[in-house]
Amino acid sequence: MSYEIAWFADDLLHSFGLFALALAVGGLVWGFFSLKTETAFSAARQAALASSLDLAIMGAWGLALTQFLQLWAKAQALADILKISPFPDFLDTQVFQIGLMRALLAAALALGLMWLRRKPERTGRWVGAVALAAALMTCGAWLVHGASRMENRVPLMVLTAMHQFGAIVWVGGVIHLGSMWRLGRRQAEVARLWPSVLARFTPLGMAAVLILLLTGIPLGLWYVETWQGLIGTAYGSMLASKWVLMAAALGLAGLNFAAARRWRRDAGAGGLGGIGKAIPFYVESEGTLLFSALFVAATLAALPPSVDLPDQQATAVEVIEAFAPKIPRMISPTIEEVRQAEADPGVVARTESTAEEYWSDYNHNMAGILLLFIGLLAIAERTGKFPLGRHWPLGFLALAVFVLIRADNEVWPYGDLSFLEGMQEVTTLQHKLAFLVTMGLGVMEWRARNTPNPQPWLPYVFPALCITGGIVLLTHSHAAFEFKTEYLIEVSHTAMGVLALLMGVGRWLELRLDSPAGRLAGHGSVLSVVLIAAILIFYLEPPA
Amino acid sequence: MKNLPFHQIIAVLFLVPVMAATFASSVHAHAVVIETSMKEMPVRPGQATEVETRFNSAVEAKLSRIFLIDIGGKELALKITAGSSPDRLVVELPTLPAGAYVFQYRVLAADGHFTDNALRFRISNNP
Repeated sequence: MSYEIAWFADDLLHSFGLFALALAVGGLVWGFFSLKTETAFSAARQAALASSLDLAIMGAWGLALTQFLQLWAKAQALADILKISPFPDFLDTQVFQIGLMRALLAAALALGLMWLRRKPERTGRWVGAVALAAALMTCGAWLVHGASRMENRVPLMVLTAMHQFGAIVWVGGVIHLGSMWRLGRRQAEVARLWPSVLARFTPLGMAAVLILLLTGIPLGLWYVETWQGLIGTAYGSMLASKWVLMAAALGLAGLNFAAARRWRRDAGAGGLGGIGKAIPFYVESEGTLLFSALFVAATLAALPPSVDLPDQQATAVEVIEAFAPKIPRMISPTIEEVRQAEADPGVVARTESTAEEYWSDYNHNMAGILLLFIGLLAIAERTGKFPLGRHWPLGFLALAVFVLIRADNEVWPYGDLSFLEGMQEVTTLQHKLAFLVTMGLGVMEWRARNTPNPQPWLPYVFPALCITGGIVLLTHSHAAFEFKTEYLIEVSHTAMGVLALLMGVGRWLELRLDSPAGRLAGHGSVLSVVLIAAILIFYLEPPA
Repeated sequence: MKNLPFHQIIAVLFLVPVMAATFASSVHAHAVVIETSMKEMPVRPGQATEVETRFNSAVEAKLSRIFLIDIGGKELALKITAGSSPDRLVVELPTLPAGAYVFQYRVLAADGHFTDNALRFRISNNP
């Protein structure tokens, strides 16, 4: 296996490991504070707790598996880099030893949770499971960035582990809350219990957010240090993206909090009422945003902190320039001009050629114009005065064809390589898959909006793909060679990633909620399309 | 529309990791070089030398590789040893003519993150 693929697998497993940790440890904390309220359980509480512990057990096994697989992926990557077996040297590393211990602790936690599930009324079993979870969290501190720093190692490790704990309690709690609501749709007793559990979760969620803030602020100051570090580096912009996602999730949490307070104030007199109508969907979207934030957090952990790149930070003026309105490039350089510019001086004396920049500018700007057209049609449809506007998803077909033709100039129809020959190259393959996804997105959304009785899942494909695209844009990074130049390319992609996520979540809420809240969320979704279009229209390759 | 079955939601959300796995290319610049001995002691043409590189985090010397790339794109694996502290590596440079070069380094940080990055430098005839 090539080291690039193994590294990628390692990164992806890291993200899923965080999610599994949230299910397991976050679920355990959630279960303890929200469901284990008395020694004698009602049947509904027992059912809810059993279901929650099942999810936590799944998370713990999932974490054990991802941790084992991460060790395997690292060994594969090392074998390809070193061209010899990485053993036994790999066995001596902190990564291997702590990784193995963490995998075993996760497996032990899974067994502990299974033991707890049999008799959840026994406090001793909770203590045992909590002790295993605490050991697991502590062990993880040796795998965070602070553990490899030469200065302030211990405080950074402690703060990061606590920060991680705050995050997983919040994320895990929200997911378990959503899962319990799902269970409530099959079991009326559980449904009746749900509002009180939501009310009990609220202070726990607030405490988790407080831990996140109290640990996140010193970590941010340590790793970012200055405003320029926040604005002018990939690390800073990813941190800012995480804040935006968490602020959006916090906004939804605020709605849940208000609903729970109202329900408590009325002493549950209104039954499920409003609390059962919209709140579960806010919880669902909050969970999606937090899930995305975990991916961003995993990416952040892999980036060099801003404080380590003092000479390679972009200025605020340079970042503003990346987004500032400019006249879009409407005329593409010819392929001959690009070929001429591609007399590559090699990696040692790398310079970006003007024709190549213009080619890229034109691609981005024209894609933005197409997307703006799609967005304006969607707005026109929403006014109710332009029924033909409902065909706006077909605009994605034009966008897909544009990507297919323009993305790879060395492949047919511009280059010497045939369509199939081009597929041997990873980037080209990715672009062809992007073409297929964009096509699929357009066709499915068009069918969802223009078919009298579409399949129930069909309308959800569009927001799910937007969320996917958002995560990909956020976790994608250009090769790090010239940090500042690459960052100035990346910053617009990061902004588009956040907007794509908001677009997906907005549309998801529009599908789930009744008007006016649903319609408002839909407006937000369309606005995100227009903002992404604007970023693309004003995109210019930064000077090398 | 408001009551989508759970398994279908899971199926739709499953697209997320699948698509992410298909498209994402990951970040691989975790342990970056923040200092080299070349600043104090520039490499001279025709003279084998050792260069000490300091990273922003501790690295695993035995599981890291540094390659030298010349202007023609020729790649040479360099011998590396652990430096005076866990964040330092010592690179043995062969005798080289004046010109522009790149260190391509692939290192494993102590926290388990990989880095694939490069550092440009120039060997000049002028002292």
